[in-house]
Amino acid sequence: MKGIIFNIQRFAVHDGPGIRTLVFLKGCPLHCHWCCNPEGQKSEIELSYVINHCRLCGRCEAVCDQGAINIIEKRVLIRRDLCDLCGNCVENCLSGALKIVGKQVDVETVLDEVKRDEPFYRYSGGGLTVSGGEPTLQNNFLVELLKGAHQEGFNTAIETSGFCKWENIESILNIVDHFLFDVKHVSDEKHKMFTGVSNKIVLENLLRLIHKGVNVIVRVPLIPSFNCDEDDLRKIMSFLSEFLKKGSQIHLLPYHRFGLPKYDHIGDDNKMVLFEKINKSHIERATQIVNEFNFIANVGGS
Amino acid sequence: MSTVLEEQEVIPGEERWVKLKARLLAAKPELESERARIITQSYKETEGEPYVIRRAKALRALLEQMTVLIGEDELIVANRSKKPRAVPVFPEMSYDWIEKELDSFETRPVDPFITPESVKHELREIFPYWKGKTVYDKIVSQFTPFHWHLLGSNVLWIDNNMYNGMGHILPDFPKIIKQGFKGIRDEILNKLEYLLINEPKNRAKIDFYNAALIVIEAAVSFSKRYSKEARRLVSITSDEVRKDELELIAQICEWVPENPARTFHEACQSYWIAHSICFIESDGMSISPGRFDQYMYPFYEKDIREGKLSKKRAIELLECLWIKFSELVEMFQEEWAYTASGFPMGQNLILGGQTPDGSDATNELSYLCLEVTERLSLPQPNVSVRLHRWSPKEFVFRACETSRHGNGMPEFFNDEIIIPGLMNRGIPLQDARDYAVVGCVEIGIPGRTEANSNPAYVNLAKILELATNNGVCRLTGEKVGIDTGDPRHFETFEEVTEAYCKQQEYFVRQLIPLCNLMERVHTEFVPTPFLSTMISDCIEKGLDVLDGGARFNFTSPQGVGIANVADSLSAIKKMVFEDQKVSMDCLLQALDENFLGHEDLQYMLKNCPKYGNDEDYVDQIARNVGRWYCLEIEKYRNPRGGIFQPGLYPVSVNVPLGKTVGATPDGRKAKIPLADGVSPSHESEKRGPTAVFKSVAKLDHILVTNGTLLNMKFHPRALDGRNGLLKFAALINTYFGLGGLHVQFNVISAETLREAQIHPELYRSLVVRVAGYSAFFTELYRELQEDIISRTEHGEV
Ligand code: SF4
Ligand code: SF4
Repeated sequence: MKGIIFNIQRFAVHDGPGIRTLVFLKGCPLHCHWCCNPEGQKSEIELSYVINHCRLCGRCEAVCDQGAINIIEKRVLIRRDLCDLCGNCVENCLSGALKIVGKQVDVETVLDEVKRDEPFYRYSGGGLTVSGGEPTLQNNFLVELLKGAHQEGFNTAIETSGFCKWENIESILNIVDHFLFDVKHVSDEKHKMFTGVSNKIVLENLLRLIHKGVNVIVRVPLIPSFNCDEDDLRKIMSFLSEFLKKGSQIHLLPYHRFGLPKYDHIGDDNKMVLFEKINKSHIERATQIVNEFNFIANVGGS
Repeated sequence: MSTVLEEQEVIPGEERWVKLKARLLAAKPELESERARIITQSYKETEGEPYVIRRAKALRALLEQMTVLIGEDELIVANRSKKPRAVPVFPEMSYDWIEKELDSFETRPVDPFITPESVKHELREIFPYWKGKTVYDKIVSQFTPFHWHLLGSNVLWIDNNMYNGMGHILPDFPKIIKQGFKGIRDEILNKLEYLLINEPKNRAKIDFYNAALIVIEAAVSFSKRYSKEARRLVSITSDEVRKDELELIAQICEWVPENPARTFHEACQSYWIAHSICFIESDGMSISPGRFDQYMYPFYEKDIREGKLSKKRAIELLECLWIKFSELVEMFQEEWAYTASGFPMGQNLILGGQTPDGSDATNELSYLCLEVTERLSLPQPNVSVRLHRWSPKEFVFRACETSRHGNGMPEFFNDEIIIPGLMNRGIPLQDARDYAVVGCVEIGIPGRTEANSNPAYVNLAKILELATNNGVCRLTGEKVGIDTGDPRHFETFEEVTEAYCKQQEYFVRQLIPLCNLMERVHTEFVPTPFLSTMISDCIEKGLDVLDGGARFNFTSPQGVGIANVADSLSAIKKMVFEDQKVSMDCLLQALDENFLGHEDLQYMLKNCPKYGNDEDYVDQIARNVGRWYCLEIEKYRNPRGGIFQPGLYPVSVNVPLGKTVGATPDGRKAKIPLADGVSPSHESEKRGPTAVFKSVAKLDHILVTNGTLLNMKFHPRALDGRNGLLKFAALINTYFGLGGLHVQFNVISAETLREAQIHPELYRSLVVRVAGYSAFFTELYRELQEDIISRTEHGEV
């Protein structure tokens, strides 16, 4: 069983219990304006260019048969319409400025990498977290991966936007220990405007999931001018309070701009929409609101 | 006699430690001449007498004449110098460099010292007497041109033993505290009596015992001088509370260290007097308190139980003591100062672990010591913890919490590796379980081991350079090693490693007699009768600790640059022999030209498998490099009847040693710092801390009985909150479960360190982990600051 992943990150400490390995599956149906992993959005592999690592040696230009690479004004310009992603340039870029984002891999290969930190899981209660993109988009691969990890005795978690068919979620119910489930907004209109999709399925899935009695942690990205004002947050919390148990953890993920350069790296035309920077008072207020509804706010995840 | 002081209400911010710490931070390191003057006078008076007697009399003169000083608010007293953070001069060890640098101490870029004109003047008068008499002079007078040639090779780096006393030891402080010097005096008198009847001609032993008696008397009267001084202050102090405190100090110093301590306060004072005198007798560094929580606990427990001591007062006493540790600073000549920047004193205080019978040793005092360490956040004492399989979770968490606090303490040590390691060196199980740490990471059995823990560094990266250049230094073109063949003709990777091992064998073989020569000079000219009263079995054998009096004897040189060697060998193996992407000839040319015009090749080398990423390909090589070093070192014997044993830690010598090494096949340019300890090279770790831990744990730590050192740096965000703490503990537990020996952390963001560089005045009290020790960040020289900042930081985002 093969899937496309774009990163494996060991020592992840904010996405589920213990010390974990994060596997990022490529492809996402949403286009959140604040997305910090734009390289996870497209399902296909992409060529990425990091100018800071480029030493302008010209090796890439020389080996590209498609003539897709030109060095102009001290940077490499990629004609993505000409590029067939053959990878020649990447192989010849010694400084690592050019990279192919996304790799077709089979489940065993990923599991082998995940197993490497097994001793750390054992001591910390950690394991595998599958993230993305939207991991359910590659559902068969996801199922196999989680099954494999569970068989190894690893704790499993998935980070999901919740935007998928219920069947997809159902198929992993028994092999996921923690669902980290994004709730971005309760207003469908705003949700559509900022993520490109309706929140109807998302919220429906969330409710069904909660009814199943599985372990769900709701994550709310705090995005100024999207969902950060009191009214928006209260609405989200009041919605949740009808279904979620008191004392449930809510992860608040403050907006950041660390993903900004990545848009440039993959030459994505939808540039990141820059929101106002988040400040301490935003976070404090949000924490307060979460607590008002008798949930436990956890800033940054854990 | 009142042994308890009334509890005083304390206004927050005006606690005793706050005032003491403020005074400490305000004190700039300063050079002083008092000790030099007194000892010179004494030496002049004792010419012709046996050295051990001369040493004893010199120490007596010092203890009788040195300024005694009781600082405001102090509860624990005794000083090594006239002022806190002042440095006495030990002209009997070496002085040439001091003389040479007298005018530049104040302005040098690394570890500057205030040097008053009057001190300069006095020292210049004193020094001529010592010409030809110092340890340094005695050593170099035996040097042949070959020795100089050898040291010029930059493979062997010798500082400590050549210029300073040996230090690096764990005296039997509990014995002094429990028996008092009175008990030891009786022991010696017994031995002496027997000797005078049965072996009256055994001059050497008789001299040793007489010397020991002299220093014991001197130590007792030194303490009594403090008692007197306290009484004097009582008579001129108007503050009633302080009067009581001074009166108590007077009573305590009258009683200990001569007699067995009866209270926790007495035990602390008795300890501190004995500790200070060790540092007055010799300028050897890293004389370490060892298992403080173990030997102090009975006093603490008894006082608490009997209602004589409140927990609050106990903490206050610990705080007073902790301040005293940081008052001691060490001065090195400019060149050496780069190897151990930040005035480290290496007073390692270790907590927890196991008792000799194998049960858990953690007690309430272990926790209090951590609490005080965290609150005071000072570079000394160098606090460590021992962890074993069943260490209480709570203790592990508490230690992690302290470490997360950011000043790099405590260091963590793994019983499960160290104890079998010691047993592999022939140390019985019960003793092995009682180990403690000297200085940075060196291991010893308190009161029983003389391990000469820091006689030399072996520059492994330089050895690799010579192996790939047929014995010729890449920077100077001089032949400093032996012929191991032109690498251009090597047909297999094994030939490269063979050449490496041969060069290593050659240099280690040259190092042994050099170390032994230096040791013999110490034995003969600067014996340490005072220290010897606190090491078993010196009194039993009638032998100074430097002469083989200790029960366990080692000499312990360090290997530096293991990551660079492993990465280089991995690159050669892959690029030249397996993938054949480059010929040896091209590779060597690129190295000769420091990669100028060979940038492509440099990148390819950098892209080869690197130690620190959990890749067996190179980790296996690293393991071999470590093992080769260990097995080579442990072949040899020292003059004290022990063997040589290896360490893999750098203090901060990885920076200056790097300066002597040309470009290396791992893609490192000439003169760049080497990797520190067993840590991976900077920038080469790409898979995060778990991968680093796994790589490093693949080394054969059990063989490295003088310690391995792993530095890890975390961004505070990665480990915050309760969950962060659990993960922190899990990291350490896993690393230790995998077989690691030691780890220490800097939990501080690069941004904070940059801030501190820009505004040093705002960060005077910022303490960071350097190597096996912590130091005030703003007092480090620039390059070392950069080195620390560039250590890979985990979990930034
Ligand atoms: S090969 Fe790499 S470093 Fe060289 S110009 Fe192309 S992108 Fe830049
Ligand atoms: S991937 Fe292939 S086609 Fe695309 S730019 Fe690189 S060399 Fe050219």
